[in-house]
Amino acid sequence: MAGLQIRGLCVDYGTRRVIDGLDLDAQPGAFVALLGESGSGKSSLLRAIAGLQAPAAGSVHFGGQALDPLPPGRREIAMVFQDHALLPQLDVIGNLTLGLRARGVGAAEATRQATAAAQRLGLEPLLARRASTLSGGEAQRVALGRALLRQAKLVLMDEPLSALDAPLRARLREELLALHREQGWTTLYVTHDQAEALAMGDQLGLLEGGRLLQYGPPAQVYSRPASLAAARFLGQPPMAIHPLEGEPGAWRWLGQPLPGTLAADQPPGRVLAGLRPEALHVQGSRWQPPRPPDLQWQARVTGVENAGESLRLRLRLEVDGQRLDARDAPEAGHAAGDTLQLGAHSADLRLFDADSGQALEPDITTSGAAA
Amino acid sequence: MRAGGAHYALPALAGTLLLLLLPMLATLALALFRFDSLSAPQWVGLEQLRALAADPLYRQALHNSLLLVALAVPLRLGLALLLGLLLARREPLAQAALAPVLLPVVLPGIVWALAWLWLLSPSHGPLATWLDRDTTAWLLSAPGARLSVILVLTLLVGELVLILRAARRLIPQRHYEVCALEGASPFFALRRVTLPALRPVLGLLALRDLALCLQLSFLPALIITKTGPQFATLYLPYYGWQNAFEYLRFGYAAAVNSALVLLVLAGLAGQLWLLRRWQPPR
Repeated sequence: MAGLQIRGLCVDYGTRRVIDGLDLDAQPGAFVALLGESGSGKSSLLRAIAGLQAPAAGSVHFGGQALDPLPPGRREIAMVFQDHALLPQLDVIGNLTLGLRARGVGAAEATRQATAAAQRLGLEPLLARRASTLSGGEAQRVALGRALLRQAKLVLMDEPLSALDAPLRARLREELLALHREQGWTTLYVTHDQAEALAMGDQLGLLEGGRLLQYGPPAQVYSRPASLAAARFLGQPPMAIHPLEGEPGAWRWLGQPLPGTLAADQPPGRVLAGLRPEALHVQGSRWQPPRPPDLQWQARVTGVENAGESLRLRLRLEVDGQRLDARDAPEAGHAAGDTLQLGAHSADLRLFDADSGQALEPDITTSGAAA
Repeated sequence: MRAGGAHYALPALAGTLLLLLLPMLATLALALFRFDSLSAPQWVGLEQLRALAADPLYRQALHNSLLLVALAVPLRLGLALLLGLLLARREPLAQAALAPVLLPVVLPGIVWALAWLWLLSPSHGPLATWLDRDTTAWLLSAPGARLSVILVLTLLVGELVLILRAARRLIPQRHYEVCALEGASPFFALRRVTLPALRPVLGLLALRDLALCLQLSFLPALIITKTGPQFATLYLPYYGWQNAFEYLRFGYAAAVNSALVLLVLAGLAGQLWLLRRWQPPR
């Protein structure tokens, strides 16, 4: 594969290992979203790929070429930073031409190319403005323009939208994806925003403690988490995870009997099952479940949060007092203290080995390396 | 300055008025009188200011002073910039080198001047001992003495180095990373990132150094070269002092100093004009 290939990458800061043996493959033209909390190693990974941080071990190849021996300027990588990294004393055209001039392009040709890029990004009215006077959105557009002018095939984006307000973020997200497709970039996009990562990536990687918890198409990573850690990491509210009780062939989950075929080969006390909040349905709701539920509970509402597009319900089961989260249509009008009938389908349960934390499903890859 | 915060500046404004502007106005007024501090001042109008133009020693001091600032200010700033950039690195050697660079500034000026008097002494200084007499004879020549004063002032840049080192450290590392990603050379980064970012600080230091160099010239002229040879290192501050306190010509000294103030103000105006024209390169 001639895309991006990372093998066994380790990055240390002093004695602290921030990237720990990471493998990752990205096809040419892929948009890879890497989701991680602060300190998960997202930025360090990008810096190591760009050559701004020397790795302690491992290798990075792109387009069939080893990047490790090359200095940052010869890797032909464009990088977009959260803080834009524009030079405040220069105007917009000066910032756009900076890289071209650094690579020896003449002033007139650099201005011509920068003006064309500015036209593409709607930056023309800003060309004479000093970078220090730009708004966050304008500055990020200029940073994108600079990436565009780098004429690189691999583009690294370090939380480029996280400092912007929500409507602007949504707009720039579209622009960024359009640019990615139009330019044929292979993009590595790191973010701590789950919605952004799920919406943008062709591939989604969950990064924790410098390791990939799971890597794959976003829908798969969300619906079929490879491990308990991945299940807990992705989704807000998180997946409800509780042990299976009883014995093989007669399992119960939160007091409800499960079909006999489910986890029939697992020993007692070793299996945990998880359910995403959106797989839990309120009976009588406008939001109908895709199939009739085979698990049913009665629960009391302990808290309601109106998220605009939905009501987020915090619930306590009547039988054993376990807590669950669910969603319902915004006009449902539930209030704390209400009693609701809940239903779910056992096919939506995800099963995990309690000891190893791994999913009890075949064919889920955790590694970023292509099989 | 916002109107609401103006009162915070009052102590500084009062100090500037009492300790700077009033003495300056008093000096300007004194230049219009003949005064020896023993008898009553005598009104002479612009006579002493006119006399300056015809005074060969004044013209010599003016020439020397202009030459001094023209050479010492760029040399001091250049050296301070070089050292500031080198010492801004977070390496043990750079940290250790800061102390010797700062030492001349924290020493009393008289100690610094006496040390150089000994170092440069053509008869018994180490330079004369290590080099043969023919080589050290240049120290007795006018250009040699002038260069000696410039050398003494140029090595007195610890404070400038400290300021430029701090200013360099304030430039975000990210800006250099952007240059590295674009494959820029270190010279490109210096020209496009470092110097434009340091421009306000460099400008301020250049403005200040014009007056400071003249002020700092006093001790070397007094201690090391004794304004010689043949008045080659007679500078305006020394000439003013000499007229006042050696010849008791306070009025004439005031005229010398008034002309000096005008000269410095004209120099500052010229520097400001240059600074405003200096735009970062594209």
